[in-house]
Amino acid sequence: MSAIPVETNISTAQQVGVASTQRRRFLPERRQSFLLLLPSLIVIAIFVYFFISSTLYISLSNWRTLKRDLSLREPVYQTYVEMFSMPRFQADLRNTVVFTLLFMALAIALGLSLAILLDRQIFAGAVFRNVFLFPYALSFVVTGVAWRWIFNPETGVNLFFDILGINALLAQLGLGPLKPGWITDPNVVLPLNGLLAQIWPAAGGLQMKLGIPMALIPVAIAATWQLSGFVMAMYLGGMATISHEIREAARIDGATEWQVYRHVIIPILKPVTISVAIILLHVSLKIFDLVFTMSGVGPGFATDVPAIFVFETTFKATRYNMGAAASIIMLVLVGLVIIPYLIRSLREETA
Amino acid sequence: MSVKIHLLRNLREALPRTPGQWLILFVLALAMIFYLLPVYVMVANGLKEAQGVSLSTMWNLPQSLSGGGFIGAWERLRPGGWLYVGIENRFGISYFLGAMDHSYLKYTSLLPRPLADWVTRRRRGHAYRTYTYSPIGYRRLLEGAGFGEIRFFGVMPTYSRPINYWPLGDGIPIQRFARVLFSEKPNTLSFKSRLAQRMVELVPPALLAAGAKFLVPHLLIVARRP
Repeated sequence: MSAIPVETNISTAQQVGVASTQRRRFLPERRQSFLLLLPSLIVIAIFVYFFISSTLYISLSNWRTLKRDLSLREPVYQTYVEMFSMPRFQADLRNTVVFTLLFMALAIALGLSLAILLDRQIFAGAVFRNVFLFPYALSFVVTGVAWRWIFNPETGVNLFFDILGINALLAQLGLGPLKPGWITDPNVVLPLNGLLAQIWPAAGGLQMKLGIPMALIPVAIAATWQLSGFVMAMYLGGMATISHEIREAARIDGATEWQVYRHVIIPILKPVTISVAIILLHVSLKIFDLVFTMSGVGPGFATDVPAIFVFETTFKATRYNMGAAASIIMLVLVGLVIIPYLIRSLREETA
Repeated sequence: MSVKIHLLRNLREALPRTPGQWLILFVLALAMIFYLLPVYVMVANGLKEAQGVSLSTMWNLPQSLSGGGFIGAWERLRPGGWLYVGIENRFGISYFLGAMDHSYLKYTSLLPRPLADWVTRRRRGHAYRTYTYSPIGYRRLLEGAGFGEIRFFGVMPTYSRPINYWPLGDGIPIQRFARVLFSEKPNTLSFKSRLAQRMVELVPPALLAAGAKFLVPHLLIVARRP
């Protein structure tokens, strides 16, 4: 979503760059365009880059209480050292990675499946499309509360396991009832600590269990519910641009319907997949409101994310330098995703 | 007519034909349940009165409270014990004349609950918590809680000072009370009170008796646990 304006900024910057090679001949025009750009450049310089750099500076400072103290720490990176040795922040990084993978896999798989099914379905297609897209229009805060209720282990969706007879069936097979703790489950499955410590001894110092926190799964389901409709809409839009001749050609060549999608449609939709992945990725890296209203930090920080860490450290614990340091780490995480994408799209433009 | 036939033909063409297409429709319908589940929870609980919202009833549709607070009274009574309730009538005549209810706002008790809640939140900054009903509503609540032998009385001047009371459905006392009340200080009566006085005098007693059932401001209710 935010990738689009950033892209246009780059292209204007590029035009300025092109103009600079012909500096002498187009001097008045160049000055004009520079003057036109100047207001937005000033605003961006102040409200984006100045604030980023001041956050960076605060993260290196001694500002740990309500009283502002902007002297630099000794050594300057001490706040980062403290932060990375905190079990909570380690858990946050783990949660971000696990949540991103779960959420992206689920949302893209569900969105693509729905798009393919709707692509083949004529009856009431508009109704289905609108229902699937509808959650995207809702606020994360509202849906977070509803999902918090649904994933309450006592009164929520677990009741359906009884009603639908799943638990009776399990009892007949001699198994216990299916009663997941959902957002209250403190367990972390598939621990990798031992394995990682064998390969990389320094990993033995990790203060948290490296695995999949069970409480994150319902959060990923809720986020998937909200954004898979958007993914579906993107794919449907992409599919609408594919001409019927291509499909017909594949069919004449003897491809089954499944093969048409697997080898023709999905490869053509690769640009859509990349945009969708970038958008979902930055949503999941910055996610705050859904998790905050749905499960908070969770049992044993099982659903804590960096954004909640930033909020609580800065505004509740008033440890401004550590909040700023976590913000910088979030910026770096988003940058790791966005910058390769920008470089790629830039290269495509120049090519 | 031809448009109708055209639409029907389109519908028939759009309907799935092969089993595979029916399967797709089925899967989409299942997905739709998943997508509408949280919406159902949001809407069903959003339309409930604040008292009705709780985790244990999160799947229930909004409904008028069956029994309400009267269930607690029923549980505390012995079989054969009597319950005595003094309470306002939600549609009492005084509310039409601009009396304030417990939200300290005028006319809110006459509004539908969600609207009254909205007004109270805007004007007073909290939820609307005045759970008064009409005599019909009280009867439904008491019956819902399991009470029998429910009797209603009109009361003057208020339910907390029950000096005069009469069985509901008898309009003559209200006429008499009004006459006494208005003749006490005829010169200081407001325009609205004078209007009410004129109305009480003009309306025939039979009609007043029918209306008093619904318009009497304060009620005494007696009910028995069977």
